[in-house]
Parts: sequence; C-alpha cells; structure tokens
Amino acid sequence: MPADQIPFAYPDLVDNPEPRCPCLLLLDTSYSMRGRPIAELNAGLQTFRDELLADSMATQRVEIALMTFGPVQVIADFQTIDTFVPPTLGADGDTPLGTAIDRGLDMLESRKQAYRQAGISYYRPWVFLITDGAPTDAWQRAADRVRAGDSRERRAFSFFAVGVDGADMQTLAEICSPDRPPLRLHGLNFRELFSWLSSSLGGVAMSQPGQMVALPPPTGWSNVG
Amino acid sequence: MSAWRAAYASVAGTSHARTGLPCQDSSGCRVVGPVLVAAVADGAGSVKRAEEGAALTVASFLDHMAEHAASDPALDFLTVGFTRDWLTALRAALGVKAKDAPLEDFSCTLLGAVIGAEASVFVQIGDGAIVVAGSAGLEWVFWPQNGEFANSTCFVTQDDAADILMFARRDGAVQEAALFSDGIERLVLNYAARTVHAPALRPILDWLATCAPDAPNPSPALLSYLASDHVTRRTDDDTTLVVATRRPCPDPP
Repeated sequence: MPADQIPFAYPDLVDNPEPRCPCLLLLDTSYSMRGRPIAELNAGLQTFRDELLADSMATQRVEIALMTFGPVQVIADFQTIDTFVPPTLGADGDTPLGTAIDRGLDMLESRKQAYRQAGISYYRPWVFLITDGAPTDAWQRAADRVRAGDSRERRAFSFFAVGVDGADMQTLAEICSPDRPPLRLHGLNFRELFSWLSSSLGGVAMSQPGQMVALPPPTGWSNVG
Repeated sequence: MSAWRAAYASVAGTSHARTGLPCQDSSGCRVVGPVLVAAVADGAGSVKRAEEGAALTVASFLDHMAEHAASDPALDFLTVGFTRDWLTALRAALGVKAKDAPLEDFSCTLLGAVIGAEASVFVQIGDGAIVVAGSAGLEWVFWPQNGEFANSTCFVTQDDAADILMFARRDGAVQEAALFSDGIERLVLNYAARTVHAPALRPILDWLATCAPDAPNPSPALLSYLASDHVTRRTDDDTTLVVATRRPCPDPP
C-alpha cells in the first residue's frame, strides 16, 4: 500500500524535547598553561564546537557546560552547541582542582534536576577534566565524589581526566575511577582530543535503549592510544 | 460487544537500515473467543541475536496465554505467579537456543496484554508502553521502564527479570488497546505531562473499528504508516504498533 493510501488521517504526534547528553568541561587555566598550551586549548574548543555543529543529532542533544580553574569560574552553563560560543581563555591562576570538581558535580546535579522537572530524558553525563599541574587545594572530597559517582554500582556519570605535560598523574589516578584511569595528552594535541570527544559524544547522543556505546580508541591525542 | 479487530506491524528503523541491522522488534496478536492476546518485544540494539530473542518472546507469550485463555476465558489463571513461571520457561527456552552463548545475546523487552470480556492483565519489562481506553480516555498502564538514562532499559534476560516484571490486572471491559515499542514512545506519550497524547492513536483506532475482523496481519496499513516520512522523520529506531478494538463498527457516514 503506497503512503498516499494510508486509510486514516495522519495522527498528530507529540513533540517531546530531545533527550539531552550533558558534558561538563573542567579546564585548567593556571599560570603554567600560559603561552602555547592555552592557545592550543582554545583552538581545541573551537574544533569541538565546529565538529559537534556538523552532527545534526549531536547539535540537538549534546549540552556543554564549561568551568575553568583557577580561579574556579563558570564560563558557560549547560547549553546546546548552537548557542555555545567558545571562549578565549587566559591562564593566570593557581590550580584549585578539588573545588572545581566539587562545584562542577553540583552544577551537573542541578542540571539533572531541571531535566527531570521538565520531563526531559537524558544520557549518562560526561565530565571531562584537563589539567597540567597538581591540585593546590584539598581534593580528597572531590575524589570521593568522583569514585562514588563513576562506579559500577552508581554509574551516575563518566569522569575522564587528561593530563597535559607536567600534570600530577599520580593524584589524577587517585581521583579517577580505577576503571577509567587518567590519560596523558600527547604533546599539545588538544584539537585531536576535542575531535575525539565530539565524535564520542555524537555516538552517545544517537544511541538507543540497550545499546552499549563503543568509544573510539583515543588515538592521535593520547600517549596510551 | 463486537468481535476483536486487531492490527500489528514492526518496521526497521532508518538507523538500522543504515548500519545493516535487521528489524529487532517483534509483535503479534491472537484472538481466542472473547479474549485478545497481544505482545511486543524490542530486541536490544547492541546484542548479537536480539531479533531472535524478540521473536521467541512474542511467540511464547502468545502461544502460552492463548492456550490457557481458551480453557479459562475469565483469566482466573493469569496471576503474577503464573506470569513469572512463564518467564522462567521463556528464559529456559532462550537458554537452549543460546547453547554456550550468554543469555544476554537475546536481550529484549516485553509488553504483553491479555484482555478478556470482563478482566484484563498487562505485563511489561523495559520500555515502550501499553495504552488502554479507560473512563477518562486513553491512558497508559505502565510508564516506560528506563532507569535513569535515556539509553538504558530492562530486559527479559537480566537476572532480576522476575522482580522487575510489572503486572496489572484490571476488572471491567477494556474496549481498545495499543502496544508500542520505544521507537514511537516519544511520539505518543507526553513526557512532561506524563499522559497519552490521544490524537497520536485515535485516528488509527477509529479506522480499525471499521475493518473486517479477519483483515490481514501484519497490517499493510500500519506497515505503510510506520515506514512513512510522517514517522521516520521523527525517529530512526525500529517501530512497532499493535492496536486492537472491539468497539462496534461505526455507521458509515
């Protein structure tokens, strides 16, 4: 039967909001990021936006929030990529990594709350931390929250940490879930990293119930990939 | 009360066509005297033999419930315990099919309805929904079982399936019902208000009431509709719709 012979009037369908795929970026803007590292990070953010915008499903579903440390500042609250304007970050603070994680996870919780109130379904959120140093504040509480949330039992979010040259990988490993150890950035390949992140988020954003999302290998930007 | 009229169809989503996956939804119905038995199963996207799991789940539910409803149309047999026993038998049958492979290879959801003259039973594991005509219009029986995240749900193959099985018995006559997989769930249910958007189903149920009780199934009309741009521009997942009515045929205009 051709479509023009469907024997009933086309039903009126619901226009529910798209499910959301929240991604929180926690970016180190301490003094040591000055010069080329921060320039490459800024270029990476531009790549991130461009590549997500090229993916129509990701454009509708991925929401980005951006927080920098230090000092700890919310640069962008959760928003879809079409309204996200990549900032030009400067680098001149210390490294309050613990506070950034703590406040970031609070921000994520309130976003989830807002989704639930609006009847918007959402994917498991991603938190993506990039740092080139060692925390200059207390980070144990933040580590406890990360390990509790990114655990096989809770699975409240996925927490990824990337260490730029000079990062305290030992401390990052203590913060991350044992299932998701920190990765070391190869040189200043921020663009490759954000390209990987945008295609991975694109894969999550189009996944359907019961579908495990296989992440592409972190080749091209990490030393282990 | 008129005879049951029922129509069902499952159509592969455009994302499945793109990636070479078959349609992993399965659906069917059976009429036994005054009783309608209907089932839908949605195979998990990322497991190897999801479509086999879905097909076996639907066939098993229809066979088992129809067989018992034939001798007990009041549906007194159909308790939670009876449904759990059936689920155990289904899992054993899936296990035989799996041989040495894990049961998870056959992961699928389950939506089942057994509607008699004066009582009905509904069961569900996972997402999708069953909708019935109640006193206030079309209403859902269970809200889709998704867990916290949009891409998570529950399956007949998981260890605690018997515990998460949702079961409801309703007394009184149910005149109309619809079952659908998660592919069109977002087009039929209003998530913010947590209601059924009746205009998403009403034209189909009204048309069905005018059909012959022995119209062919899977329904060519539903297959065309689910494959139409009206649906596929809104979802790229497999879609399944089962509709049934025993409202009297309306007078021709």
